Amino acid sequence: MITRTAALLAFLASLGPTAASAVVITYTDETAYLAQLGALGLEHWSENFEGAAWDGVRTTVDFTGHRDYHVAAAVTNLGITWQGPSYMSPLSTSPRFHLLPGEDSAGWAANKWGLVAVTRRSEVDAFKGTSANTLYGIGGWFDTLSGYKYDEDSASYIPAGHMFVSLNGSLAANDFGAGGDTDPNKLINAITSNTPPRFFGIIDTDGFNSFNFFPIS
Amino acid sequence: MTETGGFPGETSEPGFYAPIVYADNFTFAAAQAVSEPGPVPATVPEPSTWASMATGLVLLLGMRRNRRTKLPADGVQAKVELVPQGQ
Repeated sequence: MITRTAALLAFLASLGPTAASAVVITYTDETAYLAQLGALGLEHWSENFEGAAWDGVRTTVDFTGHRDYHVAAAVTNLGITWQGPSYMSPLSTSPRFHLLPGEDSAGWAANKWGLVAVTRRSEVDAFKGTSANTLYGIGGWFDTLSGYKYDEDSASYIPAGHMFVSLNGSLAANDFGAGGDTDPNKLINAITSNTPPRFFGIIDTDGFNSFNFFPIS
Repeated sequence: MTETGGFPGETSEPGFYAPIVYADNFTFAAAQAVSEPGPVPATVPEPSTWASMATGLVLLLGMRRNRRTKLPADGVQAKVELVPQGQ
């Protein structure tokens, strides 16, 4: 505890005299994110949705395209309770479309299940979690099929993912990248389709107990 | 309005969008230790089974011990033959 506190204080001090108590930084580079967790002396764990806790929420697709849904309102694993976007929209897991950077087909087969939100109309896909233990960082890889999502109201396909993340239920969402809505740093998938998954992460030195990643079209 | 899936040309289950965004390989940092999933326990006999095995072993050893020190039946004197030395 002393080591971690000292590391946090050192990190805060390194940001200069104008730094207030809380420091919140978003990341789109997993290496930099993990390096910062290490520099802060924080222990970290991985959740890849492969464990037995997730076996009850496997949604599969047969060769005709029919989906066999297995969903739940919430799943708890490793101290985090994951939820869908709302009480009406449960979560599930389904095989990812694209390989992660550096992943081969065997690696994909061993780690293919990704978290999905089975959303109802007008709801955004969102990936929420709560933890009794204070968290200081959360980050993961996000993937889309085509980079586009069908919009009922405009009856057209629109870019599927300008990513935001909010902590502790705050209405103030944290952004990724300083550019406008088309800043590629903010998008799960570039406008051009078939690109690999992208990493989005956040560190809050004050700690948090809930998070909500939500891409907005 | 008919609700359609998120994938081009796909119709999802009534009332649901097919998933369009996937998330995987999260890494999170916590202040306290998070309970790791414990190792799958090896198949070991239940305590009652251990007790049964121990009881069986005791009985088995007891039988062997009894066989070594088997006494003649009541009323029958053990016949002891002395063989003179030197013969």
